[in-house]
Amino acid sequence: MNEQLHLDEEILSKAKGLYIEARKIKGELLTGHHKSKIKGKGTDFVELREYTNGDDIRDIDWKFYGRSEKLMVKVKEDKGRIDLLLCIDDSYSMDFGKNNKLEYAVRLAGTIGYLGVSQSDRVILKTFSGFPEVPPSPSKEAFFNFFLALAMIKPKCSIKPLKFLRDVNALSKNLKVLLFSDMLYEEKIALEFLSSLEGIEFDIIHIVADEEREIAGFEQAFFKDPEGDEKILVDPHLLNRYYRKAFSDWEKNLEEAVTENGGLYIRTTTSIPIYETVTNYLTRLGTRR
Amino acid sequence: MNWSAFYFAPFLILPIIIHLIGKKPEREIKFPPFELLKRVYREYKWYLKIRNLLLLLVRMCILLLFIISASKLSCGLSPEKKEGVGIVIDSSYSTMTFDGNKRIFKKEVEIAKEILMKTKDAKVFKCSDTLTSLFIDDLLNEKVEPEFKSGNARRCYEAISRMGFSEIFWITDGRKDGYEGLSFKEGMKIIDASQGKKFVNAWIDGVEIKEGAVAIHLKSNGKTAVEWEIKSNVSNLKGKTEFAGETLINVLFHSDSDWLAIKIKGDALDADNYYFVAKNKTYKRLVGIFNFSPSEVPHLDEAYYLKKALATGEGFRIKEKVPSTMKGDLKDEYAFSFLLNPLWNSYVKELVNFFLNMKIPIFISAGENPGFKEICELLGIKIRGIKEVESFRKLLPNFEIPFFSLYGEVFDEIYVKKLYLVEPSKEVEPVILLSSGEPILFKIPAKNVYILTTTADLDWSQFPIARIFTPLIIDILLHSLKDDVKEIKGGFSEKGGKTLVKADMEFSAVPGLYEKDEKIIVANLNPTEESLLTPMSSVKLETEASKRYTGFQVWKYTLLFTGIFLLLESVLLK
Repeated sequence: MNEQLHLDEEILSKAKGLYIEARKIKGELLTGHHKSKIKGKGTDFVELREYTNGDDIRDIDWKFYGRSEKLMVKVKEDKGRIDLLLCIDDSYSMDFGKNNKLEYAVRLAGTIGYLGVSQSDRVILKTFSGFPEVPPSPSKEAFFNFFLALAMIKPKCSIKPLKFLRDVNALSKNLKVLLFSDMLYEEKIALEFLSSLEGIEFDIIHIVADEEREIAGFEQAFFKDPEGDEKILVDPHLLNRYYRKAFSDWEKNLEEAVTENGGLYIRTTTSIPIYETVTNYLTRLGTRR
Repeated sequence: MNWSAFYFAPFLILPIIIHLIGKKPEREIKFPPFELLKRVYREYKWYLKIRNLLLLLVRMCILLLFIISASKLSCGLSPEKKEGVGIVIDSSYSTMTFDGNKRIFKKEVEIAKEILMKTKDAKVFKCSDTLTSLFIDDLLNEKVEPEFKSGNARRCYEAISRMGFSEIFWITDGRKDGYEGLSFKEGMKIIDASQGKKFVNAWIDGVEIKEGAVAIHLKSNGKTAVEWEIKSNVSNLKGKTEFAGETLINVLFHSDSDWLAIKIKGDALDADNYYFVAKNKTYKRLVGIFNFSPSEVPHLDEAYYLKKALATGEGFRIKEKVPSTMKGDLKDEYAFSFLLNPLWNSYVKELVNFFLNMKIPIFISAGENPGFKEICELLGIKIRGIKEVESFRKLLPNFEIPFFSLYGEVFDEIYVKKLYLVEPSKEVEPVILLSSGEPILFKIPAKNVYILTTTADLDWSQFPIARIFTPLIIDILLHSLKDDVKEIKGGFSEKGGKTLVKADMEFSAVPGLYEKDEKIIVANLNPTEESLLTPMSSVKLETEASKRYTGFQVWKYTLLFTGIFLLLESVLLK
């Protein structure tokens, strides 16, 4: 666990909550319904990689250390296990909605991560901002650190997803990326981001707040860019019909782009219970496989 | 039309103010799909601006239409008749004058016949004091005659312009005075039957009384013939004279007479001329006219007619006073007093008591001021109420005149606004009754007071009252000045008049004065129709009086459009 983590009562309580919810949902799901594609340690040596904090010291290639004085770990592959990278978009745009999108993403990641660990997968948690830094979950016993890290996630300003990709590429090749995001980037950036994921197995859980799909619930007001200063005076009653259609078109285009780049696209809304979203995801995953 | 509705007109700019200033919201919403919203906003910005502009216009239209609806606007044109030809023949008194050997009126009728020959769809009217529809057969058979009525072109024009004729021929005698200030609309053709000839008029320029003779100075602006009449307390003389420019008529007259009333009438005269003279210069007494009417146009109220009757004559001084300056004048020797539309204050009260104590005759006319009711109360007369009257012609086809018909003429229509209804009593002696039974003029003999229960209104529609008011006032004066009133009455009473006809029938189509049951005299004023010689029922009077021209009711349609625009607004708001 990183020393930056400040464990106060609130975070602990939140982490416990996330853990309990994950356990509950897991109990409700059929056992064996989900099988991991890659998970955890294997027996066949694949490559050496640089040691990182949290790696098992038993995997260190001491011979190589003797030659080069560099700590490298032997990466072994077990075809039944994978490294599951749970990537949460913690940009400002996620901090929106009566049912907060970021909160929803955190709860969803907690549940899916717990499912992964339960089936001996190696689960890695990352955010677009890089905070908090969390080591891959080494065991079920240390997995509570994962929930602590989830509990500490807060929205951050102006995050570019492309920067995050550089870190992802440095990870294991047996990687499955599961992205929790509202995908509200400029069209060009979003497409660039998706094409960069080519070659990586990735799923996107697209999280939308109810208020984003329909603006009729708002009064006339200045609508402001949450990550900038620009604002426009909008009467939602007048514009809602056109906005709703534009939003729907955008969602369709996004789904097409994700699919074209080999990803699995799951759309969810913050009003949908976590259990249902997880079930939907697992079902789609099974169908796809 | 209710003009007060237009007080709301400034509210028309309310939607503009709201549109321009409109309260901008202070609230800001951080909205993640801002880029998407911005794109949609830019795409539909102009569409929304146009829609807002339309909404503004619709809202202004709604307000405007609502105001028009509330004003109950009616268009002057009748929706039923939009075409046809109207022919108006000027039948006023002046058309009796001759042009050569032919009356102007006859010439007018000939022109009307010519038009009728060429136009099938035509309606004919005569225009004197009011516009009256004519039977074409009567016109063709020359049954229609000019009338002893002053022309009121404005009233007739207003009436015919509402009838919606596409073309109107207005045949007149060419005297332009009556048309002054009138702007005729398109489609109106004025035909001058006299073909621009100058009319001859005559008038009394002065009267000189010598021993046993009267010299009347007459003047004219051309060759003309007049009939003159001299009346006094003891005799009555008539004659005719023809002259050009100026003439002097010397008439031998009874030297015992104290006063003279002189009148001339003739074919060339626009109206009859009256002249009142006191023969004896020493017989100089004061006539007080106390006019309380608010009118700033003196010739539009009764005072004008009083002066017309008295001021041109000799032997009377006229003292016109207002209440604030009349204190101390009471010692003057008044012969007669007029209280027109009196106020009620201590001076008026003192004045009335003075006249009553001195047995000086008082003539009181009703008006808007409170003095009339107060004086009536002082005299012990009860007022039952006030009746709003639009036109006495509609109410009264017949006058009942038990007392006056000095010159044996048909009385003209009287237009008034209000009629005070008086409680009958033994002290009150009606002088002129309306056919409804209400006295319009009555006398209280014991107190030597005459009361006119109405007042002339303040526009030209009262003009005809001159013809009844002037001789009426002279009569009242003549009857009241001396104790030998009975003698005067004997000489000029209606019973000796030539026009008086015993009326045994219930209807008459001939204009004139009729006597019924010895005392009651009925004047038939409408020669084109049979007139009842019995009073109308009160129900019929009410119906006739309440008939009003309503015209094309625009407001009903604007109300409908208000609804349509409200619907349009709700569509735009969606």
